[in-house]
Amino acid sequence: MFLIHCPYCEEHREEEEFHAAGQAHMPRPLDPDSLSDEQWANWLYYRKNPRGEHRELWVHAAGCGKYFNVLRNTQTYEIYATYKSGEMLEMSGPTTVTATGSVLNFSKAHASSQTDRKPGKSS
Amino acid sequence: MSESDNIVVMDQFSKNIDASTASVVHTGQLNVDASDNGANSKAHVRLAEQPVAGLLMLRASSEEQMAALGAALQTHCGVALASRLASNTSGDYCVRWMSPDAWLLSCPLSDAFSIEQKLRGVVSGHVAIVQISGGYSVFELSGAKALEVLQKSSGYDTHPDNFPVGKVVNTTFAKAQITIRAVQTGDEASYELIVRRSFSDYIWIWLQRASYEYGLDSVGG
Amino acid sequence: MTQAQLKIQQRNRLTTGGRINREKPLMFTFAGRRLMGYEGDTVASALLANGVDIVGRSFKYGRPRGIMTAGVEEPNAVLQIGGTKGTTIPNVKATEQMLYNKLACRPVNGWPSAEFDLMGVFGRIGGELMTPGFYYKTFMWPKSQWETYEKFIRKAAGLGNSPEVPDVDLYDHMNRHADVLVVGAGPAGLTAALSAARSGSRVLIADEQHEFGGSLLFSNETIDGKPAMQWVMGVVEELRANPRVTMLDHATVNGYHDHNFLTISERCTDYLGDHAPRGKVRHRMHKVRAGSVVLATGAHERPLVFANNDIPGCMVASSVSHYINRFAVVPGERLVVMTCNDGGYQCALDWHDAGRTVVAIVDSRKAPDGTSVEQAAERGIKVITGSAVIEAQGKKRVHAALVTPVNAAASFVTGDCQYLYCDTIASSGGWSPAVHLSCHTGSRPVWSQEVLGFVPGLTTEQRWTAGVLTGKVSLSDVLSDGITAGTDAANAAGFTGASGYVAPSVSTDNQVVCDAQEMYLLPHTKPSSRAPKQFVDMQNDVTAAGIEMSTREGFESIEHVKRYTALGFGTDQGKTGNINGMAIVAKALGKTIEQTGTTVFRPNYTPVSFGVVAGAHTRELFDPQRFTAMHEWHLKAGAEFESVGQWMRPWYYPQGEETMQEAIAREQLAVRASVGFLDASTLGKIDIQGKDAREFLGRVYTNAWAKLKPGFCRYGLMCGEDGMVMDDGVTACLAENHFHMTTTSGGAARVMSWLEIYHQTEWPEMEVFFNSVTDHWATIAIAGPNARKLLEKLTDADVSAENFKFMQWIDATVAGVPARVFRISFTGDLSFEVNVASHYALAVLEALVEAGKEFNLTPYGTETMHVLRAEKGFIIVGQDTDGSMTPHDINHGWAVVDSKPFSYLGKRGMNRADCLRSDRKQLVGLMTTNPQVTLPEGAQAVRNPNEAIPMTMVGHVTSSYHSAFLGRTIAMGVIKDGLNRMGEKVYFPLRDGTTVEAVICSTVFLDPDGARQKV
Repeated sequence: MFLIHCPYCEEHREEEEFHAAGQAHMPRPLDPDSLSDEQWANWLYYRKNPRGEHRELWVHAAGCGKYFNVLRNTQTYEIYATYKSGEMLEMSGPTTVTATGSVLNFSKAHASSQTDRKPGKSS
Repeated sequence: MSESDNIVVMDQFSKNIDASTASVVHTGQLNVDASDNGANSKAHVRLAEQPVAGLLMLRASSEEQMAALGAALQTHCGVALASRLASNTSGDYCVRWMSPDAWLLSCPLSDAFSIEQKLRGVVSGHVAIVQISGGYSVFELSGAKALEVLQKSSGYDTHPDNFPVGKVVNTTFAKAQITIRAVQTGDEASYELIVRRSFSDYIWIWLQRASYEYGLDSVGG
Repeated sequence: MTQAQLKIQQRNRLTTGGRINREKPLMFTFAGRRLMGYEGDTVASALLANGVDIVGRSFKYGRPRGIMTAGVEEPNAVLQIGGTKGTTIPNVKATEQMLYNKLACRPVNGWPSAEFDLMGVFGRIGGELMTPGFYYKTFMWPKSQWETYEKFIRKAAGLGNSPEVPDVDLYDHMNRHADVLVVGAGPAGLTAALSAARSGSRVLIADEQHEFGGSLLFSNETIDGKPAMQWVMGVVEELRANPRVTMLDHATVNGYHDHNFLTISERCTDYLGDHAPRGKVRHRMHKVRAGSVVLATGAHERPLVFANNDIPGCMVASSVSHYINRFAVVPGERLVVMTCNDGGYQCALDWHDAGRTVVAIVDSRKAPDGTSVEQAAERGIKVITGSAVIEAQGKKRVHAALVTPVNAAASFVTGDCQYLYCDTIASSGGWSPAVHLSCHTGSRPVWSQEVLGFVPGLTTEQRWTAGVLTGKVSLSDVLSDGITAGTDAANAAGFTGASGYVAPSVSTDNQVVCDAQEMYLLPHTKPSSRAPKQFVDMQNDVTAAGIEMSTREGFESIEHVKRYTALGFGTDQGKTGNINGMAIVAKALGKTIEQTGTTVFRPNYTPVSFGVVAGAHTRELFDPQRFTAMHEWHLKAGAEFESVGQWMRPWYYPQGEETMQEAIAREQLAVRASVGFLDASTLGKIDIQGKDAREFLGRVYTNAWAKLKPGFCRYGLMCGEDGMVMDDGVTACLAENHFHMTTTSGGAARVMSWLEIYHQTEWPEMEVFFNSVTDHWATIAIAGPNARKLLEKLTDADVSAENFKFMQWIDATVAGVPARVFRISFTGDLSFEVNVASHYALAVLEALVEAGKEFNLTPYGTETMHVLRAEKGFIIVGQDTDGSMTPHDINHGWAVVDSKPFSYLGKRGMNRADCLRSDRKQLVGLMTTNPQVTLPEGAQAVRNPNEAIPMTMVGHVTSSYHSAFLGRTIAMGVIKDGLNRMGEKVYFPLRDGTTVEAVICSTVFLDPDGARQKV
């Protein structure tokens, strides 16, 4: 059971308040009609399944109802950061594991608003 | 019907029928009667169904619209737009933060239409106001063991450390969803539970079951 | 037997001492035998007090087994407890269950009885019959016979009986939040909790025992100059007085899940009686989210493995001390101790001090010295060094230990045997830290050669470990370790104030001055394969020879050995045997334990009841049942209900002795002949406002919305991006920028999420808001030729055919209530859907029913609704579609407008080459040749009924009913290329061997021109 920070409610909440909604940052093609069947299928059906860092779209279904992005580790189940839909988050450095009293620290990340967002282009 | 911004505002209040006395809870009681708990002679939990309230969902997402909506609320209801996870109360009016772009305003049922009209008269553009008075039922859960009943029902941390008076949270409750507002904490704790109307029976029975060991005094249902 | 006689029967009970209440005798029965114990006893201590040696029979060999430990690691004393069918619980550990008055228990295994066991005979005759991999090798072939074998094996070797009637008790869950959760209330846990509490944090401390204290419950040591338990009481008092501290006893922390989420199973009333007192919860699951976690779970002592080490009387050394000091029970007369470390000496000292005979302490070390050895010498206890107990002898109880000198590594026998006559052999192979919880989140334990055990590894959780769990041995180290962990844990949770807690002083601390020897399997004069059985895992009868054999058969991974031999698979999860087993594997493979590694543990740490897993989510609370605002009326009308998603909808309304078929036939005819009504409140309803609302609709629906005028409604189809039909419904244009969308009952939440995800993540610039009004509006659908006449009686609004046309809506006051009335139809007849705020619904319905009497107004349920819509060929998404059908497949091309400027959701998907094939399955009507035969829904269609099996299937039935109005059956189904095959025959071979013939036809069976609904 994850404990997830909702970037809109600005609180950590229980996983049962949320639903996962698949891989994040998969904007709908602006002109689907111009795509070949293969290109369309690539967007629609193919998803990453990494062992390690992964970005996913989640929704705070039982809370504020907002969709947001989660950067997490599929192997250790750590959540490194959550950030609002329409924003992008870049890792500032490699993930480091330090064992001090068996607490794991991870690298700091910074949020930057995606300012050059085009209509119809997704988060 | 009145129209502004090409939106319909409908007076849904009936002067002919008193909706305040009708219970939203239809089915029978829990198969064990929580009010007749031999283990506890004193009821440590009270559960009351509140009369149907006027409920308006207010929506706005830009700073400008929020400011306009807040000013209109202040003028007509005497409450400011609530900030994140908070509520503001004044007399019959209570506005609750539901989401970054949604607030739930309660008022007397008979006022819902006029409040909606008044707010509509001041704000325009990318806002929405929807009457949902029939969509929810409101329960009051109180008593010395009310906090324990909440803890049995929701994974949200309702301890006063994290859930002081006035705080509002949308969360899970048993297998349903709910809005909880802390009205009072401590020995005489009291909480407002706002439930989707169709889940009222489920929540009502759940609350009876959760209160069973503490002794329950219920009103309505 | 009198109480006095029963008291005397407790021949192993000391007259003084222990944490039992001799004033409160408790009567109980074991396998029908009446016995007595005292308040404060566990079932195990009470059985030992009464000299009960055999508590069960072994799983494979039927060997008699006795109590071996005093805690949750117990492999043998597993009992069926409970006096009635509704309260009985299998597999309760006697060492965990507190005694209560009138407790009834019996062994779970041993058939026909534990004293005489058929499997024992089988085991002896069969000899080596049940070798490792026995099940795989023997009973899996022939497969057809498994059921026969299984019955016998389960009966003979099974572990108890499950209850046969509903549980009489209440169970529930409680969500907890703590800044610091401390697991275990032994010395480290207590100091951790106290230091965390003093820093001001919210603390939760849980312990599986009846009382807090952990190992101090049976310790002779003093803390701050007081007996250890007095110190414990002081700490408990301070914690109890702190309102920010929650203390749970009888509460086993069973699971450690991601992000410091832990589950605790509290056995709230199990110590009080057979079932919970009225009003009380029997078991409660605490679901804890903690800021920091301190694990102070202690360790389990390992028994040593020697031949016949399973004969009753063979015990783990510390448990002997536990029984003597905590329960005033000395579980025998003559003790032999087998140890390889100083810790093993304590039980001999306690035994001696209790006034019974210690025959000898056998120490594998050549020259042990230090306090423990001195204390033994002071008491005149004989210590045999450089030697080992290589074999126990006895049948139903130990009667001798075979002792031989061994080499320095204690790997082989170096001299002659001597017999030590005794009834108890207590062994100590050292301590295995209870790392179980630390593993649950994926952290692998690490072998420590210093500790001679696995200790918790690194974790990603905010977690601390303290005390014996980390390999600490001396009490003063353990106490101060707890303080450090508790303070650090509170700090990390944001409570940085120093607790100022100084470690208490321990005056008679046992100093370990002589190193322990690494020891698991003791040698024998014969190799393991020929020596009497040397048991590693008692519950699963896994022997050293069996493990060695599995390595010879090629199982080298510890995980494979575990599965092949069943090592650690019992209800005790191998708490006593795992490390010994791994050591034997390592040795057989010529590796170190570190190289072999360990299996890891998963939740739960100990078995939990099904009741506590289910909690209150049972019976009427198993899943939410949603009711409409008119539910009360339906109940009074005697409706039968049907679950639609979570909604409980009226299915049909039987009158008198009517059958379902009779009732729905009557309902159908009443609607077609005059008028009926349906509670349609469960339809999803979404209020949509904003200047981009219309454009948004155009993007999510397949058809056009640009020109829908206020006052009008339109049917819309919604598709996924794959082009498959997802939902449908009628949407009304309330005003230029305001719409009222309806969805299917089951699809409401899905559609709402669908609109939101596109709005929030794809098109946030669009000015539109969606709000669910499903519960706000109650909807009554009035349908039938007399619908208008009925409505006119209740409203002054003009609802005439001229002024209120099909697919229009109006605001009207109906029965004195403001209503929004839609003139739409799901029956094909004249129909109005009246929407009022839910709190008025019942009043409006009652007025409607009263006004409808003259028209024979008939309530109809979902079954009749299904038939009426099928007569008209109206689809139900999810019944006639299954997520693989495009609008074209269901012959709804008329609801698709590809010329819209925006590439609407589903357009690209449904125009993929595969979706454009003409031979896809298409929705058509099906008319059976015999009009009275109803096709089963789901029946598969073939074109040639005489084709050899496997036949070529070309489609299936999606909806099928008997239409009362048409006097025959009708059906819809999907058939390959069906739209081009009107009039052709298809066949439906059924399970019973018959074949039904049907003709492909239009889905519209009634009134194809729509004359009835446009009157």
